[in-house]
Amino acid sequence: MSNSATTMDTTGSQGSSTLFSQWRVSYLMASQDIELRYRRSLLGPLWVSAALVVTVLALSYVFSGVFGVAHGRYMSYVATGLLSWQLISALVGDACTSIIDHTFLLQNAPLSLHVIAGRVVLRNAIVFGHNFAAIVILLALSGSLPTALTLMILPGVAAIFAAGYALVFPLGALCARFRDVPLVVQNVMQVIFFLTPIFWMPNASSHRPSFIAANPFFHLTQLIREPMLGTVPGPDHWAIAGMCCVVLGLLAWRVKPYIATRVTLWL
Amino acid sequence: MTSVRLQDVSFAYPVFDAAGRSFKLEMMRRISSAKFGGAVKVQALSHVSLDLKAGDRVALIGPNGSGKSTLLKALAGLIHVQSGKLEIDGRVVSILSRGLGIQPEFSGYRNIELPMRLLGARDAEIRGALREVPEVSGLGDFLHLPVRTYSDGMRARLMFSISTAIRGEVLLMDEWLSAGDAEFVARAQKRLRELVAATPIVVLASHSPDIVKSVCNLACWMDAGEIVQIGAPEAVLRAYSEKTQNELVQANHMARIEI
Repeated sequence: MSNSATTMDTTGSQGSSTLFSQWRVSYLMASQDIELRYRRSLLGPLWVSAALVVTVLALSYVFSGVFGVAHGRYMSYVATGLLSWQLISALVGDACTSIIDHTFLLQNAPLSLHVIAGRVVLRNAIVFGHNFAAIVILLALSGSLPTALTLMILPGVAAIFAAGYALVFPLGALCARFRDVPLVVQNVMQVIFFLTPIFWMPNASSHRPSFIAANPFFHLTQLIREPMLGTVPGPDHWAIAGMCCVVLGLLAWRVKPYIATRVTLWL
Repeated sequence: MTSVRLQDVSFAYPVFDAAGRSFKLEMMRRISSAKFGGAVKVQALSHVSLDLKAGDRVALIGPNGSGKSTLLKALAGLIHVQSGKLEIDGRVVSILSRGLGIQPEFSGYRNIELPMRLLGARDAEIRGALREVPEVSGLGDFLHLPVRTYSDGMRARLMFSISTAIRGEVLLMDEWLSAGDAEFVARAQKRLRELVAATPIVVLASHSPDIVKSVCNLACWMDAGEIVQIGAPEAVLRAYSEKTQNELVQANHMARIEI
């Protein structure tokens, strides 16, 4: 017989689930996601990364000519840009569908929203690991070997994942309550992709419009791109990324109690 | 000491129509104060008070839509009551649905851990389940095949074995579990009765008078979100069936008059 007693009141969820066991559930779900996604495909875990590499090769073939930039230099630029963009847009997209995707589980088990956020982050961390390896190999083959500076992406990646974790609460809930929001977010992200210097270079036109500096996605992508290209990211990128984490973290912390008591009613 | 206390608990579901789920329309509603779309409220529990202590086995009876499932969901922590007080002292295990966390692509064996964790199992309980589910379910080598290849009966065996592998202090069940062929049903019944016997408080929603009488020592008759009567199963069941009989007679009577 179990000897631990937990008290459940109307405001809290079950106390028996500790932080550790929440991450266990998240990890279990995320690894199942990955396994299912890659199952039955010949290249296995490399499939998504292979698609990324093909996109990079195609874009660099076309646009290095359009922009008149040396092919090798442009490819490194677009490869690191797409690598970081894919991570960010996947986190935003997954945050949108996160709560809706757990409809059945939320309706039938006392599932903490932290488990869902953890699943989103871990799943994308695994995908990013594969993509990162693929891009590093691609760049090495084209002549630019990774340096010790490459490790400088770690704090940037951590900041992006922290922001993505926090985003699940407000955005996942908003998308569950109002079912037209995911479509709007998808459209907005499409526009932001073109507004952010991912495949075009801001200094190609020899000026840096203020809308680039005001775009938080630019700063987030630079935190991954610059170390991989051999420079240390500037303090402005760190500052904006830190602000994203703080703002989203505070927002998540503020709305979580409200969401947790109502989310099953929106599904 | 294990206990469940509800004081004057009420709960209403908002039911949104398509317009009520649109962000754009919601913004327009706020700006223009126009009345279109939105949510209808369905009062699922009203002023429910209940006091359960160790040894209580409660059957929730009543027609569909009377609030039995909502009460179970509130006890399981799946919904948060909007007024009143709900206190549970003890570890809650809820078996409210089948197939929770089952991933059909994976083998039966690999589908043990996640459902258990979602039910709140601890590591030791998962290790125990990995040992005993093959025997309890009687699935043998089928456990190494993907669940999508299972028949309904095999699926039910797997889920039953998983659901009954956790010992809590407050057990919530929506309908008495029963599954599989005659041989399995007999074994399953024995296991379920053992589980109930080992659990201090059991709350069970059931439509079967036999189950209510043989498993429970309290029956709670619900109608329209309220508790109509609570007491010894025999007496409550009798009152409940008299009322439904009366309604049936009245309905027949009215039908005859209309003809």
